[in-house]
Amino acid sequence: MPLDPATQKIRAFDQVGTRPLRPDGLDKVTGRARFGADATAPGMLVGRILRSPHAHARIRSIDATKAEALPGVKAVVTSKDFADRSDDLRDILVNIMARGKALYEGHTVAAVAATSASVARKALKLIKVDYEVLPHVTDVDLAMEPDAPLLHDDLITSGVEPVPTKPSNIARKIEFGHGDVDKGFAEADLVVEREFKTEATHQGYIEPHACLASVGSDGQGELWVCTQGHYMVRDVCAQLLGMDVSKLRVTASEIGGGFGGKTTVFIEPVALALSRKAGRPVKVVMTRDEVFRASGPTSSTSMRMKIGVKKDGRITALDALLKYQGGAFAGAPVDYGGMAGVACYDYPNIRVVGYDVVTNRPKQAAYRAPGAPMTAFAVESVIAEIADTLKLDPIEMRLKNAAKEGTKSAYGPTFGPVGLVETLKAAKAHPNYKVKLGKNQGRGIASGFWFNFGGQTCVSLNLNIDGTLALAVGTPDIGGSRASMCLMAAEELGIPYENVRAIIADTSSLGYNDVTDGSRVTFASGMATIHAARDAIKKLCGRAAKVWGIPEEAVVWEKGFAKPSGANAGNFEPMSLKELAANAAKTGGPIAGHYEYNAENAGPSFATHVVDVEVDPETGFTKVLRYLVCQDAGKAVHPSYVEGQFQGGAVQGIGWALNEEYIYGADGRLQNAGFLDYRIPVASDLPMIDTAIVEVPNPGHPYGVRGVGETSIVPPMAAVSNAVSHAVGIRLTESPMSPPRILKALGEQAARKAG
Amino acid sequence: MHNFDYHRPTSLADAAKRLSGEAKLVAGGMTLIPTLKQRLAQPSSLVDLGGIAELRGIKPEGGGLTIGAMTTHAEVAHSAEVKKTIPALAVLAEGIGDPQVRNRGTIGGSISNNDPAADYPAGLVALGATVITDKRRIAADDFFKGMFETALQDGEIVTAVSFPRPDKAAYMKFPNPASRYAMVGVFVARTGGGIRVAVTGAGPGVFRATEMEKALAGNFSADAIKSVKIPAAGLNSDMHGSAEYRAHLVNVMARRAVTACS
Amino acid sequence: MAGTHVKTTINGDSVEYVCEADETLLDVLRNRLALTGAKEGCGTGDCGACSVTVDGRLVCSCLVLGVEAEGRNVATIEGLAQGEHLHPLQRKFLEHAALQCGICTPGFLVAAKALLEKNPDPSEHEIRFWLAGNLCRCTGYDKIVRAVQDAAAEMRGGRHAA
Repeated sequence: MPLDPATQKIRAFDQVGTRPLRPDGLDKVTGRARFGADATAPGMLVGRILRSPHAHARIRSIDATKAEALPGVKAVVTSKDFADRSDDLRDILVNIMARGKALYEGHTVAAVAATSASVARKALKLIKVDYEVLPHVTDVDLAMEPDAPLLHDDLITSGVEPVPTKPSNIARKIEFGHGDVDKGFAEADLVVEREFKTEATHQGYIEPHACLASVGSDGQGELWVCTQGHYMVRDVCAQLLGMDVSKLRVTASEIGGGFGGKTTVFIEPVALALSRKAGRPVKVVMTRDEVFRASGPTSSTSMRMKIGVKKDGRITALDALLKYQGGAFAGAPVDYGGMAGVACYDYPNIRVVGYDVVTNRPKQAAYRAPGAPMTAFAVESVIAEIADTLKLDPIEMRLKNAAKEGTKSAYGPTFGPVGLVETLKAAKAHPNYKVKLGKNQGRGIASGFWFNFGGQTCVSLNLNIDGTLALAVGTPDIGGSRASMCLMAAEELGIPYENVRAIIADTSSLGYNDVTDGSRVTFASGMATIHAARDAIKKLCGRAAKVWGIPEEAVVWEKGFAKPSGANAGNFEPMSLKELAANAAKTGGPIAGHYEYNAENAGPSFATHVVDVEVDPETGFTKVLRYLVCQDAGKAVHPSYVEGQFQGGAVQGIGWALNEEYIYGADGRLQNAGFLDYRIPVASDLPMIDTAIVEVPNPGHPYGVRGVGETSIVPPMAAVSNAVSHAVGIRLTESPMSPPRILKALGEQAARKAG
Repeated sequence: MHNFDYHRPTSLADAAKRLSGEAKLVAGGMTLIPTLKQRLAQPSSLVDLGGIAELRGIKPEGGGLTIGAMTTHAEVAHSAEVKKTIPALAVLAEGIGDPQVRNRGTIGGSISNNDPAADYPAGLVALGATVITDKRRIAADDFFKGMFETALQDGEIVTAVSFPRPDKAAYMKFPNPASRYAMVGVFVARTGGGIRVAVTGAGPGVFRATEMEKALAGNFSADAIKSVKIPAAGLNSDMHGSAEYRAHLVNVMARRAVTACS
Repeated sequence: MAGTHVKTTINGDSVEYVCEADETLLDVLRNRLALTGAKEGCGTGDCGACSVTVDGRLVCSCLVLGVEAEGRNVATIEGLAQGEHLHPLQRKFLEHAALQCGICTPGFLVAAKALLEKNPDPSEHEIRFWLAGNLCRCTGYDKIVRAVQDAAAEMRGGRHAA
């Protein structure tokens, strides 16, 4: 509990909440930090991948004999080099190497390892693949039609009664809610129903996927890889390659961005298979083109959102139909997205129906609050339209309906203490909310939510002879979390922050950790660190007790010192951690603390965003004038990095709202597979991103911490759309709101006014 | 890329000598190097013009300016001479790409390539510039032929561009949101020779909006061209904008350029 | 085709290497000289993660040929600090938390240094415009701009000269 047991007040921290320099910072500002593509090994080969040029094709045969014979080629692998399986790794197996069918343009069909890039390239050209091109489908609505090209002839929709007799592209139907929406709409004074479409986007991490695999003839392997979860990589690769898990050691490099896109495997099993076959280390690095075509973009969606309200703004019912395509395999996050997208409000009646659809596109992967930005776009746009129609202040309307402690969420659980109301109030109180706007300028509000996850986590804390600490965590640091871990360890032990050094341990040096995702690291690894520190403290007290000859229970730990608990315990000089560490050999040996668990009770994080835009009515260009993120962090361990998460997620959302989209041609091929034509925001596009950290402590964490990394990408699409609507009076229901789309809507508006 | 010979001659004569067969000139490399990387071209040798001092520099000449072919966009953008004599040209150069591109891209390279979305062609045509090669002088109107096509003969090297001084000039561009190439760029100039409105980005190559020029000759104001519609037929349609959108933008950018001239 | 022998200066040190004509300066730095600070984010000059300066001019090293470095002065991220003294930009990036994953940071530092050498007192608009060739996906640029502003102020004040 975040309350101080002695005072029953919110605990005052000595170090948590300050802004020290991050421990990995020096390496990152000097170029010394080593990322995925920065490793080399003696005898290293270059691995390159042959990818399908067709969006959908049967692979009749692959003839690699000429490639194998080319001097300098040391291995060629195809699906023959991977044993088939029928468990829940099957989809990943097929995604990393096509079996029988190429399911999307860019799908891996074969791979080579050669002594140089130019030999590898020549070898790829020599591989003869006999394709039978099939009709393809990339649009989610078209993929659901009964006569759509079929990707998997064994895909039967789950979640539907009666069970379908024929396969389709619909992997699952989900449904959740409560109450009676028809009754709810009948009671409403105003009902608004709109359709929305969002296009697929990519996480856009600046570092392409990269790894260096080395498998010896004894079957032991090493893998250096940029990933959000090296234990996941180890377990998945070991299983796909038929290796004992213990035989594969994976080291997580520094990672140049992930945002969810590196929570799975793409090139890693292939690199390991090549290395095993070649008997030499193999480095595989994706080009930017490959990243766009063959890693994991988001779903694209087609949605219908219907909300009914009383004239005072109180919601009576919400009914949503969500169609998400997740690329060539089941798993589009229509469930998480649907649940999170509606989570901000208290609904007497709600029904959400969702479809997880497959198409001839790369398999989707998580992108910060997976699935939520799209549904939230729909919900928050309709809420805004209702507020405008009823002439209600958008924040007041949201306050009326806001989820609070005790609200039963649409997806089931009842909320504990949560901070949506606080973020709405913080937004309203902020100076940005009072700025007077001019011609063609408008303000948009939107709120958002993400569950945040716990997950399997463990850490190990070891004392060094000089009283400094080595903290080994197992969750790759994608945003600066090592600083927060050190702050928490230092706080518990009462020692200087600089005395704690955190590393990301490799998979052989620490127990299993779930991937860095779900905004879980500061929460779960942080909590594990706190408990490990308390474990170490217990042992330290035991050592002091031994030295003093008193019972363990008579020793307490206070700000870095072991002390007798009272006058009765004895009159001993306190012993510092440094002294105890120096004496460890004599008192029982090395001193360490550790903690392993499946973290639960991660507190959700709510947010409210306010954006001011100016639209140029002659070109449709939208300029962001002002952006404010108010978000609940529970307890901000390192406020600078909390702000950084708010700002980074908001800017990704702005890109999604205004510019970013996957553009497919009629041939099913991606047309904009590079940063030239897929535009992520640059510095000159943006103003400063203002932030307000709200702290409603999460009772599930000793310090009240809530994860913050994901919620910030949820509100921007709707916030920007609402702002554009207030600027020039048009309501856009498709992302991105690019200049031609805005201009077209303005033209239609003018025609309506004239007609 | 593939293997090629690389030469960096120090004189124009030397460069010309090496330009036979499958050899290609490289200036700033902003187009050629990506092209080589994608294997869309496989020259046997590259002749780098970067070592020829006489190809760089900005000189006042005949009331206007002569800009050496190897002068970078950054140099043009920051040149006190250009800002004094043809400030609109500095604005044009400043808007090309980003700082890294502007430090490498050159005026000679840009016009020799004649990308339909490049900015310089509009500037040269609107200002009535003259392209100077190692063999002759070519008026801008005659230099740009079509998409990626110019009047240059095989082995002919652009050495400089000479610009007259305009009375009034301005460049307005609506950049492609991703690449910052011109989705539509309009350069309006009033020189001793008359009024010119040159449009880039919208069509397969730079063109003059002659109807606008006529209207402006009578009344040099944005109002004068308010209702001059550019037909969408023949304009570029791509993933970032339709021909109709571009046609609309031409009018908008032209009006803004005229307003900026005053 | 035998490689070309190149003699150049990198971060003030005289350096010689042999490279193929079709190798970029980025390839040479990373693969031949083990200077992996410059990163390949896109290979097409669109992300700026490979930024270096050549004769003081900010360029994308993925679009410069290795052979073009002959006789020039190349500066990379590895040369920004002077021994153990960080450049004010490096210090300010750390203080302002202007980096999260850090992959774009070398490019930004090189670009920002080039900016401040030409313009010691840039406005926010000028900073954003000058850094428009460097992509960051983590920070939203806010803290990067603040770090550059703060470093510029310190450098103008003359304190902590690097």
